[in-house]
Amino acid sequence: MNRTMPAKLPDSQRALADYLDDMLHQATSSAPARPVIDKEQPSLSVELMLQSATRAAAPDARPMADKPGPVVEENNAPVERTAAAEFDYPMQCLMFQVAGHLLSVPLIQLSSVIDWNDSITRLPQSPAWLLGLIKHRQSNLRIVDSRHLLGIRNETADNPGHLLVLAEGGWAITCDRLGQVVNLDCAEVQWKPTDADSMLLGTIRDSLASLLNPTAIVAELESRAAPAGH
Amino acid sequence: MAEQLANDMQGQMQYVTFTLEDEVYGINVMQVQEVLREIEVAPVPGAPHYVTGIINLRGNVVSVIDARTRFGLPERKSTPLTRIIVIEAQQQIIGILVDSVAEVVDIEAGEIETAPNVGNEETSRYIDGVVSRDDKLLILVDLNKLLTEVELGEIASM
Repeated sequence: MNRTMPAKLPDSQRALADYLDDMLHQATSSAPARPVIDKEQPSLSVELMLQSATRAAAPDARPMADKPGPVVEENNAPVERTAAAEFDYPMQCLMFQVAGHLLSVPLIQLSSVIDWNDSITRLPQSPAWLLGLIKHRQSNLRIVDSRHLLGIRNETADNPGHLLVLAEGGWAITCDRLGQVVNLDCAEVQWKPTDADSMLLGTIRDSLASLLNPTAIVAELESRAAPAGH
Repeated sequence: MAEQLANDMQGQMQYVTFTLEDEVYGINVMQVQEVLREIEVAPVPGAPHYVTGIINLRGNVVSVIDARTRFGLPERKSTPLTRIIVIEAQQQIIGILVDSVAEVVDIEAGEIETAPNVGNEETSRYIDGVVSRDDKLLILVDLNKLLTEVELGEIASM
């Protein structure tokens, strides 16, 4: 009897050690991986990983706050609010040109695209940025010269080829040439801070096209068009 | 029958249309006294910039305002189509120099839409509305508001 006891003790200790090792291993393997990656990877890699995570996850299952934002958030830099969270991704954008400038606009904020024609009615004493009115789908659209609106200097006075009808406010902006519709992920745009009160949402990194902010444009136009004192 | 006809007439108005540059404007026919082929307009020293001059209309002196100048359009030499529309506004007889006179059109009250704000109070003041016609818009002008009371006073004192 006395000989067998010592022989059993190491077995039970080994079993306990194996049990604890197993538990420790499980705990380690179930720990979140992101903090480790954040420490070891440069910010661009983090951004790319966030981007790939965004693609993998179902959009509907992700709350708005979890949508990928600018890299600065990962670097604990001062948080800048952008309009990035206001869109679903991939975000469809229409590329177009105005006086040689490459521009883009979120498709969801456009109502329609119509060809330029000479049926525009110019109102007397209207400001230079307003080209006139046009009847479109039972409403009178106000046609805005994109060059004036965006401060694009260009001597050529060719008629624009198309009109981009904004989804709100009964406004349309001119466009010389239409481009393609592109699908953009959040990280493909260099977002501008919303505090900037700008008519631009940001810049598309790949094409360097300026991404217009139709909401801010409509607000600006309504402000310009409102009678004084309103 | 007569009552129904009267009701139909109530919703309909007649406008004299005229052109300036590429646009067509309409003014209430009830305020138009006559349309003159351009007759000699005598300039008046010291007249406001929007006044072209004066004409002798059957012995009465009538001031003529240049609609182009009033509407912020560049001046243009008169052509065979140039006309002076003699109107009555705020109990004054005034001539309006226009590029041409087109026609008299019937417009239903329901056809008239409010002109959207365009950032110019001056324009909003005298534009009564717009009517869709032939792919373009007919701009209706309220003659009583085309000139301010100060301007009417200036013209009356000429």
